[in-house]
Amino acid sequence: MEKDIETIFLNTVESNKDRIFRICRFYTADNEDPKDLFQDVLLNLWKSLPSFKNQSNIDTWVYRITINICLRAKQFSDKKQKHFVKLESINIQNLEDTIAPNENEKLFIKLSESIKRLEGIEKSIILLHLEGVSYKEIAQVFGLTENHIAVKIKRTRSKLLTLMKS
Amino acid sequence: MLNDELERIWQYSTKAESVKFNKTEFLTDLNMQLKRFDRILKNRDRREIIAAGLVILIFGSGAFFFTGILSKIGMVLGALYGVLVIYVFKNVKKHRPTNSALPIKDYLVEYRQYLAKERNLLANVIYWYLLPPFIACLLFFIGQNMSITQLAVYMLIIFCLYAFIFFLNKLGVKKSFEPLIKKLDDAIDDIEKIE
Repeated sequence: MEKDIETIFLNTVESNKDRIFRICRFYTADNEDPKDLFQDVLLNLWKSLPSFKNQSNIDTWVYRITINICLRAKQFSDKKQKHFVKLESINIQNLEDTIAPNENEKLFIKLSESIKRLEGIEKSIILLHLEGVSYKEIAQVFGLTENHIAVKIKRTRSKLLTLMKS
Repeated sequence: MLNDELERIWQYSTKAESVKFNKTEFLTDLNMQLKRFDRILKNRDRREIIAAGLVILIFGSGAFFFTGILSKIGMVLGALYGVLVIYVFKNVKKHRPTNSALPIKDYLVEYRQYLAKERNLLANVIYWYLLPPFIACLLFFIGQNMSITQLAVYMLIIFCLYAFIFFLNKLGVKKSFEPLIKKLDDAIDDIEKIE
């Protein structure tokens, strides 16, 4: 049983780790390391896995925990962190050096800056959307209907495009 | 810029960074961290119980040793105060949200409720944290047949100390809790506006 949980956990982390890290990056202040928040999310996933019920897709469950921990971290970003999680086994490999700076990179920086200017919920929804998460799954993450999410995404995309142009 | 260009630009980020981990070490690492947090929580609980135990022991034995009915009542009140403090701390901790797998809105609402309880605790510190030991001290000193001047000096010192604690707590409510609760309210409002 314990082995099963470990396998499920490792497979889930393996298939979502980069995505979780990218989301964490957008909830980290410029002077903080996104790795700290990322590790906090992983620890919460591991802690919560035994209580995971198959009522929802495991990826939806992962996004819920990720967004909840990121939002909570954002609320507390003004206060000093209590205890940082330090996982030595995690290594963030920077691949940027291997890619020559190009137009895409410039656009990506602009997109990132614009996303950072969005408010908490808008930011979470657009990040999941850009990561390719379906409307249905995003709706389950937030506890809202697909229609509401679709409308919100449409509005947020327009806002994002305006921010990028400005 | 076309709408679907956003996805194309976003794809760049997937090439920028990658997370690597050693599976075996990773699990050991996680379990060690969980144990560490567990230890921190247990130690904190232990410290609180020891502190309350000391208060109960000191005041309880005071009730036995000191003469004068008012002093005895003061000491008993002091001991009961130790029990009250531990109860209040334990009670508020019970409400701390632990299920981070809840839908976002539910989680934020639960977190807000918990913070509101903590805020109320600090805002009402005068009633549950300051007033009971103040009354206990007052009764104790009166029971010791002190002169009015002595009593006034002692009570003034205690009053100044309590006033300092009271304002520190008020400041904590204003500087830490109110802005946090406001942020959570805004986030909850955002979600409600979508609905």
